[in-house]
Amino acid sequence: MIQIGRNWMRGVGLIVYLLSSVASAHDPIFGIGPHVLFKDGFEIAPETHVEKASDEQVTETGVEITYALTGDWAIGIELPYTDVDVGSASASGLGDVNLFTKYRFWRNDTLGAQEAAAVSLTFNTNTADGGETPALGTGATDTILGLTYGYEGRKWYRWASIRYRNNGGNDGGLQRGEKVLFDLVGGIRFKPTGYLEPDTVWLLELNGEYGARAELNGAAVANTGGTEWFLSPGIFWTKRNFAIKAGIQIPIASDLQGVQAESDIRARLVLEWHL
Amino acid sequence: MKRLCVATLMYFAMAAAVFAEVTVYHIIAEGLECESCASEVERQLKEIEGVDSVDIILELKGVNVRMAEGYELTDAQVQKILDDAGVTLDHIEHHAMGQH
Repeated sequence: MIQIGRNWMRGVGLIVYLLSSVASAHDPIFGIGPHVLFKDGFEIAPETHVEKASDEQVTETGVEITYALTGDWAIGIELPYTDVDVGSASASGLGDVNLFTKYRFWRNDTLGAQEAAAVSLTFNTNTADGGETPALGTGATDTILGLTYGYEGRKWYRWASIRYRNNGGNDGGLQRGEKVLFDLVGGIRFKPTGYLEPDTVWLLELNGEYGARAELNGAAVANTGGTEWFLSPGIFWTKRNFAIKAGIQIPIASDLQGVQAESDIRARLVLEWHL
Repeated sequence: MKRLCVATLMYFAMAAAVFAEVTVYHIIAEGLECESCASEVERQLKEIEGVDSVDIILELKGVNVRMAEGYELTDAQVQKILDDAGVTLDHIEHHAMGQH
């Protein structure tokens, strides 16, 4: 088992979690949901995501633009600006651009409620500004495949999802371990609201993340991989075609291999505007 | 004779104004529980010629559409808008209303 440049790897370790969940109104904040836009509709979503682990902090601020090809199929792009600070060094610049698509393949509508399931595919492209230490991107193109179920009612919400992240290898021979993310989410609207009234839904998410150990030229890399669980309270506030979503991830359990900084806290704020 | 013709024309014009009917459509949709989807439904309905007003009533899972005199909203128009919004049409009720 080998060890590699700590500063470089620390940044990459945090970056892979950021902005990998496609935002959509009335979908979870950290997990994913099956909600899709109106046909030919656009969604513009500026967002920021902060992640802190020990003395390391990564902040990504970006904008996500989504277009609905049909009432069940959407495509989009996410353009992040990334700031990485690992204590002894810091860097900022354009992060990895994400391209994504989501297809809702099943829907069951009843009066005042909708159940649906969707698949999603995201490409985390190798487009971050290069040559920075710590790195601003993963140095490879990663693929994230997701499957999600959701129920939206006038009072209760619930979602379940799983995502598999296949990480690409970089030019230096580093192959980051594959990841699996699990999400169970419940939501409640305490006060039923009318169409033109501001609407608030409270959420509680359970997010699990498993990562396999990384390899460098075929040899396992120490201090990589493991499992973390988070409990994540959140809120979404909507008024007609505008939404604000916010949440924090609080680590509740972790089993990281070797010596790794455990996550302290993560937070996400998303503004969404449907056109 | 001329006076009689003018009076008759005026009578029919006034009668038409008094007894003109507009149609209000009450659209019941399954899966319509999201404000952003409903706002798109509202926007699309308002783009149809002759639509006078649109009221979204999420509590009743429905949309009320009032048409201007002489205009109709077809089932196909409603069906397409709801399909594009990702919700299901349950049924449409038509109510003819006198306009005074």
